[in-house]
Amino acid sequence: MSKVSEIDDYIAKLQRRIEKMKNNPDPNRPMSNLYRYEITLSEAQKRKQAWEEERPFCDGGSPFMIAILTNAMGFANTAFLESTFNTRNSVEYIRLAGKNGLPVDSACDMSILPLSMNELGMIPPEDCTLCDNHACTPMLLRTYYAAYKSQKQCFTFDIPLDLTYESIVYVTEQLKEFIEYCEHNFQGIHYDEERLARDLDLQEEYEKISCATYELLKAKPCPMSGLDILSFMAGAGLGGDVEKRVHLAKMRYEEIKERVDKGIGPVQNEKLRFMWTITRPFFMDPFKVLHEKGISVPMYFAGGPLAHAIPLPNVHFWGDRTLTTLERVAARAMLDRYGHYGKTWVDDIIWVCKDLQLDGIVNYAMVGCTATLGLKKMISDRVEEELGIPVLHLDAREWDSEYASEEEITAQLNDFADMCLARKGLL
Amino acid sequence: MVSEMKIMEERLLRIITANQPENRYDWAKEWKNAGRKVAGVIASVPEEVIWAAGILPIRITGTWSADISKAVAHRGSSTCSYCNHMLQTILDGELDFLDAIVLVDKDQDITRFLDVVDYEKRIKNTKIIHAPFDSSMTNQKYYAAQMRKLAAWLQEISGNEVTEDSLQESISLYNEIREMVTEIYMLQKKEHPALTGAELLGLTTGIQVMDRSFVRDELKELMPYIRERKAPLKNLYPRIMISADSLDNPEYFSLIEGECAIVVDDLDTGRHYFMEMVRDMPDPYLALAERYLYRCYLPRMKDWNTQIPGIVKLAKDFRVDGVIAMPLTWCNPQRFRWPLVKAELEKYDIPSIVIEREYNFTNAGQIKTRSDAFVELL
Repeated sequence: MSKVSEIDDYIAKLQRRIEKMKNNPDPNRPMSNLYRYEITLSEAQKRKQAWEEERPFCDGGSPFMIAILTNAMGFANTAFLESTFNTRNSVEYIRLAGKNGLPVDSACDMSILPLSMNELGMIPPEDCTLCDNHACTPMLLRTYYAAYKSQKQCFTFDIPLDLTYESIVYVTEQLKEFIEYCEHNFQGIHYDEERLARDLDLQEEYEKISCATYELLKAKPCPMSGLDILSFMAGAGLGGDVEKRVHLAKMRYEEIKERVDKGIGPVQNEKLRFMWTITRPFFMDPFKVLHEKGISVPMYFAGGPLAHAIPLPNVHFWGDRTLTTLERVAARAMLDRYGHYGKTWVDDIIWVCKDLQLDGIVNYAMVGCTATLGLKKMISDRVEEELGIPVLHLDAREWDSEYASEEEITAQLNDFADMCLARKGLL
Repeated sequence: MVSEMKIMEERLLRIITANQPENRYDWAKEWKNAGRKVAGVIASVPEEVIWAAGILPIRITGTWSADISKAVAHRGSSTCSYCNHMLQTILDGELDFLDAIVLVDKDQDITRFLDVVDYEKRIKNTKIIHAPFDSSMTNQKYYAAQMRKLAAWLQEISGNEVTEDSLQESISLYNEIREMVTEIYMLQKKEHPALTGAELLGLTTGIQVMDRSFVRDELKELMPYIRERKAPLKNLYPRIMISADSLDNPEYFSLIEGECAIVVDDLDTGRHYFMEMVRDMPDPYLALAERYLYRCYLPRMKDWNTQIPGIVKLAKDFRVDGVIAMPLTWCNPQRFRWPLVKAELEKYDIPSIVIEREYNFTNAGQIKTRSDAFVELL
């Protein structure tokens, strides 16, 4: 395995990508990607610097939880998910986790890989592990395991199932305790409410632009490739350099609008439009298979970022009530659709399919995804019944290509695409 | 004297076999026949609130049959098999007599299980309450408020108001049962335990489907007999502890126990269901919240720093020679925590082994071979 840390490896990868984009841009990919890579590079470099300076790290749960608050308190972020999705050492990490007795067969790759990365010192260790249930059981357990192994500070956030103002108050109370806890336990950590309020305002601006960009995805052909849709949706988290992210959102909107106005898209002869859910195999580009069949993928439907990127109904469950700064953080921390009732998940899928006029769903049934595996038949039944569209449940993992290989995934996607095309008489 | 012993043995056996498939719903049906309501629950639900509403809480046991095809059609096979077996039981209509299901979101698989139950509309009244992941005072207050809401919901179903008095009475009843079962566990520390491991699991799971006031009265009368009883064990050594979750079929224990004695368990269906009393506090809901959140054993709860040494202490207190962990194949909470428990046990030279299992009793040959080999080395 490479001795280079995941951050160094990622920095080098981003630099190569930026160079390539500058020298040889892909006409099918938005040029705003260049700025996105530059922001990501600058954040990775800051992370590396924080690691070298031994500043305290706390992930804020994930970019979709309270990273916006931990940033405002002065914590650096390990960005373990980013490392997980970009690593070149996944096989070694999974092997090590298995050797350590971790449940590599029953838990998802993204909950397992960071534990091995931590053990090998490939990502910065968290000084304060934030344990929370906003997403799913394996991600919560990952934090318990990490906290026990490191024997450093840890704090638990408890997110209720019900989206009510009462729940916001409860979570806010915990945020206050968290701030007090961290200010007491970490030197240099101080809650900066002014910065938080500013970042939240920027985040809301980002969300508004994202929602406007989402509206552009109704255009046919879809103006963005599956991979770019994924980056757009997954990048909607809270935290990082929010000001630059707002600028990125504006650039992306303008660029996509221009594409829509000109009728440009990566799938020019668009026959069908699919939704892709949850995650993807990171050892291949599955969207390419669909694009080659004349199928665009205007929606990447994943719990964490979704509510921050698209105008889902009932997201602003607090209504017209004016929230305090910390209540705004609490409310947003509760929006991860993975962690709620199954009915919400399926209702949202149906709403998006209708709104974007989609023709099929590739439900990436990732091994270990406790948030979604139990809903397979509910999804199939309801979308067939209410929309008359089919679902492919693609049983696979993120990194383990022995579980479902590129060839197997490609074959399943091709078969499903053909079936959908035949249904519409387009084959 | 002999016939008196025989009568006591039969009475004890009645509890031990109460959760066997042929007896499992007898108590619930009798309760229903008297015009009262029954609610299905899982371990960790604050049952005292349900009992206080005049509703009999019975733990939902999944089907012990291998056929879970209806459940798998919904959830796939790579999900918690306890949930799949519970779901199959419900989809088969076996639990149509239930007036309600009350769950806590012990893990996400449980939430998704109830999502499907609701989708299939098999049970009219369902509720899942969110149980916090640590025991801070903020969380205790939140959980107490959840239980108050649960009480109001249950009142609508049963027509019985949950008063502070009825709740205190319910708490007392549950505490009395806990005290007696805790004493039975203490008897397992003796050189010759009072019950075999299989009998003890039968008893703990049996109680969870029975009329609790009958259980209390019956245990009171049985305790003198149990105190003197010697378990019908072939071997008293080595002494074994079983660590698992959602294990409710005593056949698993019988299979292992041929060559050893299972003297204690680390099970949500066993010892953990009974450990720790509800304290006497002015607010009974807060007292319940404290007990359910503070009682620290479920891997879903934050405090692994307490849980893991706690498991080691249990093993030492019961002078076990080895620990067998039997997690469900797809049970992430147990399986994430286990490597850390194993490492801690090793520090005290307590050997351990993991034998994964399905929820229903299967792969007996393989399990026996592995457990016998482990026991032989002790």
